[in-house]
Amino acid sequence: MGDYLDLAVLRNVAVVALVAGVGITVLFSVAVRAVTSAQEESAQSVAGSRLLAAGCLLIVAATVAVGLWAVLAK
Amino acid sequence: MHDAALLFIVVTAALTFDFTNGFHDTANAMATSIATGALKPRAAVALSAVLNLAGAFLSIKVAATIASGIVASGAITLPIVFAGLLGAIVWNLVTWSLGLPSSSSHALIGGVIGATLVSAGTSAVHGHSIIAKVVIPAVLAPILAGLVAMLATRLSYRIARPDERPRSHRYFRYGQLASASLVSLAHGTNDAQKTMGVITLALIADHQISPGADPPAWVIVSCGVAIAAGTYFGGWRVIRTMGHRLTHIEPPQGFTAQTASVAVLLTATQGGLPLSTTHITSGAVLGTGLGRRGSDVRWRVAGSMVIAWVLTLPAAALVAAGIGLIVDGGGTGQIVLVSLAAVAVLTGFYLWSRRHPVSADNVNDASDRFGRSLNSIERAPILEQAAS
Repeated sequence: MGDYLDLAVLRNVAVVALVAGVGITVLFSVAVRAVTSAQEESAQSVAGSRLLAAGCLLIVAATVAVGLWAVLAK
Repeated sequence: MHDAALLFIVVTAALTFDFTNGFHDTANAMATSIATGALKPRAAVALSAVLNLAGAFLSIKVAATIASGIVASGAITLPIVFAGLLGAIVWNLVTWSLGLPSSSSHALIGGVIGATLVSAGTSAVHGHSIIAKVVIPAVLAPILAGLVAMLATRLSYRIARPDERPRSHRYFRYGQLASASLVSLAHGTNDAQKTMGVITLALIADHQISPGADPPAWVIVSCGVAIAAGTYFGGWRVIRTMGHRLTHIEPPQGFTAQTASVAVLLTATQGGLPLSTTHITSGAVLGTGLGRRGSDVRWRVAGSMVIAWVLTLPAAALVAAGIGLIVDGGGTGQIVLVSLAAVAVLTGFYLWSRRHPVSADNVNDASDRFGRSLNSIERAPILEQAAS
């Protein structure tokens, strides 16, 4: 296959796609769990859960923004 | 034949292809959102159409055409482009009428290859490039996207526990809005540009613009509008297959499938790997089906889809070769006759599809294109399904 494709590029694409795809989903799932947990917990835990959810969503948004910028700026 | 008339016919064919590309690929972005109820069908295709239109304007790095490197550039003439486009359009309609997702880009490449073969012979077609740009990516894309989606789905269900917390489905539906929008935007950026490339190539061949020039504004606008119109028209048959017939999809799965698709699509674009959006999203839907415990993947439907993928290039090539034999070197009469025949074929496909209509109103019914329940599809052999 190396005759047809640059295997280093393929490896990089596979690794980045795996990390980004799984990473974003995991962060979003953590945020969802934090929000749904917040609805069942005490007031003190609610603040922590919401903070966790906000932090995760912020990282997701930043990752998506950087990804889009990288592709469009190419 | 006057060059201007031929150019007009080629541009019309290119925009028609762009339209079929749009409605054929609506499912890539919106099938899972429609299936999980994150978006109403009409709202989903409207959102996708707007984002496809926006995507068409985001970048104009087109000038390299889709068939670049696959056939000798000197062999490409306006009749060849015309025949290639018709081959791709016909194959898009065949797969759409069967409700099978298939790559419009591969259909276009197949069309150009077929037309070039009859016009300039085998020496004008670069086999090495076909393997590198079509065959290997067609195998890699669904595997990579499926792997990412499967792993992401497993982790997502383990972390968010949507089975124990049904309220979480609402938040995953919100997430789907964002991920589906990104797929639509990426699709508009990639696919509208391919048609811009074809029209630009035709303009260069007709000496309307100089080689290496950017596509004129009217080309960008018309391609953006054509793909957006096609997207809004909605390829409901393919949407039903992607959203319901391959596997049952819950909101967390819809979100992970779309996120995996965007991750693979954008990373591959950045790395210069020519992966098909259709292959990526279909692979991601299968992957998310495999990733959820208790989920079922309908392998018979997946098998039909893979057969369509394998047939895409040779089938489009065959149709284009037939058309190429008629129009290459022919006069006005041949090209007008072929154009009229093409319009008749398109009309025939449309009328045939009206016998078993799938629309925004029934796209979420759990039945196939003939109104049979999904269980009966499972028992029917693939060829029987295609023939009935």
